[in-house]
Amino acid sequence: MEKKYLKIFKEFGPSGDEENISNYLKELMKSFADKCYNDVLGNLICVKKSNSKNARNIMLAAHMDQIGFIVTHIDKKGYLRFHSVGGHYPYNQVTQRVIFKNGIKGMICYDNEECLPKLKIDNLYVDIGAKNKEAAEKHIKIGDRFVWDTEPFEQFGNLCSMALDDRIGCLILILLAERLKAAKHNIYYVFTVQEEVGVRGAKTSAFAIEPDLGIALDVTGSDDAPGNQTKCSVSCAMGKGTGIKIMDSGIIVPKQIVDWEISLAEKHKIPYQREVLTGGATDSFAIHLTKKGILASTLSVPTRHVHSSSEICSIADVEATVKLLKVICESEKLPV
Amino acid sequence: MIKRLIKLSNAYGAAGDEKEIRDFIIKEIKNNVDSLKIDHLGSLIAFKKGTNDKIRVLLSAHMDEVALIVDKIDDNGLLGVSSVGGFLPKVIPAKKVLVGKDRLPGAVVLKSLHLMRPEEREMPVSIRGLNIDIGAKDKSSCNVSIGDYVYFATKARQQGNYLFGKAFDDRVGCAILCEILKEKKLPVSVYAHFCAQEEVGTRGGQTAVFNKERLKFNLNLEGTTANDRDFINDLSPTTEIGKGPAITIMDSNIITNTKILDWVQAIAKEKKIPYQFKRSVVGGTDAGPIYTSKEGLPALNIALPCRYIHSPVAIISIPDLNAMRDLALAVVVKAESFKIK
Repeated sequence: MEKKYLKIFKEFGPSGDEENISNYLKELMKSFADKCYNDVLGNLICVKKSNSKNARNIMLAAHMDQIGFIVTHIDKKGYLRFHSVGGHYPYNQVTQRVIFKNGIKGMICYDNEECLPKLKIDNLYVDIGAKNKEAAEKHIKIGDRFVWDTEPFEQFGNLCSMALDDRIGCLILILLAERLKAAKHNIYYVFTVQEEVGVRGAKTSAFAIEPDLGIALDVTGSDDAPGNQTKCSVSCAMGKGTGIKIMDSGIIVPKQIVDWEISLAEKHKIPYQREVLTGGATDSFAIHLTKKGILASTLSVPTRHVHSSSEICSIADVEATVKLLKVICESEKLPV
Repeated sequence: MIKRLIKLSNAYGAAGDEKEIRDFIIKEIKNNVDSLKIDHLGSLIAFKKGTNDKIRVLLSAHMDEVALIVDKIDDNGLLGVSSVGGFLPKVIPAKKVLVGKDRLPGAVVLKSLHLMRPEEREMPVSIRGLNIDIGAKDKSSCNVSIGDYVYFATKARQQGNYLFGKAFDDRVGCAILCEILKEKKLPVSVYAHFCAQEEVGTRGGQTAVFNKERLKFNLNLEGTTANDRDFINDLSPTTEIGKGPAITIMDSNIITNTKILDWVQAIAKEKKIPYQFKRSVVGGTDAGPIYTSKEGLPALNIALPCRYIHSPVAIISIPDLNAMRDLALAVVVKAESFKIK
């Protein structure tokens, strides 16, 4: 994978502090869009108008925020207490290396052995090696956010990163924008903010755009790891094609859209899987309940170890998702 | 302001039953605003035109308090209740209460110690298991209907620099909004949205942005949790009373825009107003639905630290209250200087 694409997975951007990733995505998108702007909440909206007379408005949403942490307290010795920004499993955090926007690094530790059986975020702290509170406060303020410090890499045709959720959706939109020469419809590429804390960016951007069709690009689970490690059940597995969402906890995708997406995938021989997920939702949750209701769906990339510091997906599934999305945007008639 | 807050604290108004609070506020502000209206949820919306009417600020505070509602009347005249808003069941038993429109005095009762089996004494309290005794002979003579609200009979009082009372969440916000509206002339126009039904899911806040024009940002005024003990243990605290109003960076329904955070802190520093941050990320306020309404609106939540919030008696600091009023007023006065980009 080209370096410029890998960089998408490295840019800092926990919910509410998406400035860096937004600037980078704008850089990648600006030559493919008529205009790019950030709205009040910070959503990056890139618009590409179509020349077609019958053009409709399609909103494609991928969230650019990643899960992270927020500093709530700096103690006298210079250790940091924190809370989650987005959904975190406490056990995934023990001994993780973390990094702040300003480059300060630290390591997550737990209070003592007794707290391990029922570990909570409250039992964890970050050691940045500061001498004391005053030394820490020179670099860190209450409210500062931080994320895991891991590098993305490619191996066996798979991609591994702490932020596949949902930079993989952002990458899909970038690849689509590069390949989509003459779209039949006006495409709103929306890189949303604050998805991980409750699909908030999608809510306000969908209100402003009021599209005819909304499609979210996001990760879903992968039902192929040993043991029953995921709390929710999912009907997809990594490497078997793009996930066409039928239902999750936020949306029941209208049948005419599911049928249409499947018929396009079959016609163009794009590998796909029918996706039913029992826990979790994506930006389509907010989009489809906007104003008087908007037809919306989600295309998913099956991903192992979602919300861990090493999420893994298959690059072939990403490719399949881009292909299906391209066919959708090139369709003369929408089922709307 | 203290007198007005004491009156507001002593008045009764839970979600869906805000009339007494609303009527009191109308009486207080009607001569100081250009228009007043009540929406379908029961929120009260006041508009006060400022020197510059091109900029309007949405001020908000919720009128409702946490309370109980009668959902069962036994044949023997004992009442069963549910909560309207979030209560820790343990704080409810053995308190004096007032029931229904006639404010019938009663008490939340538990079986006496002697009548409990040993294991019964150790059992956790649930709201379902509590009864209210109003001294009625039986069901037919109790003069209470299902759906009547039940309030704690707490009377607010001042003790040194502290106020003790109920419903500071969020009558402090209401009291400060009244203060702002009583200013002779404001540099910008303000809508003061006294929200209904916050405690049952920030519902007043969900409708607050609609039917309003030229909004620049929202300032939501609240009461919030204080926990001084965690400061002693040097762990993640929430807020501490006596250290100024608390600015929310993140809670369960908002992540505050960093531009507005920097801006309000600069104002506080310039005016030498003490402030702190709310450091727990739990709880949500009307600022949440407000900042994601329509195309989005920058929103700022400033809250007064209250010890023992959501209980029959909470404690607040009067210097905190004054600082919060000063900061809220300064934010309105300087509204023209706020830039989102």
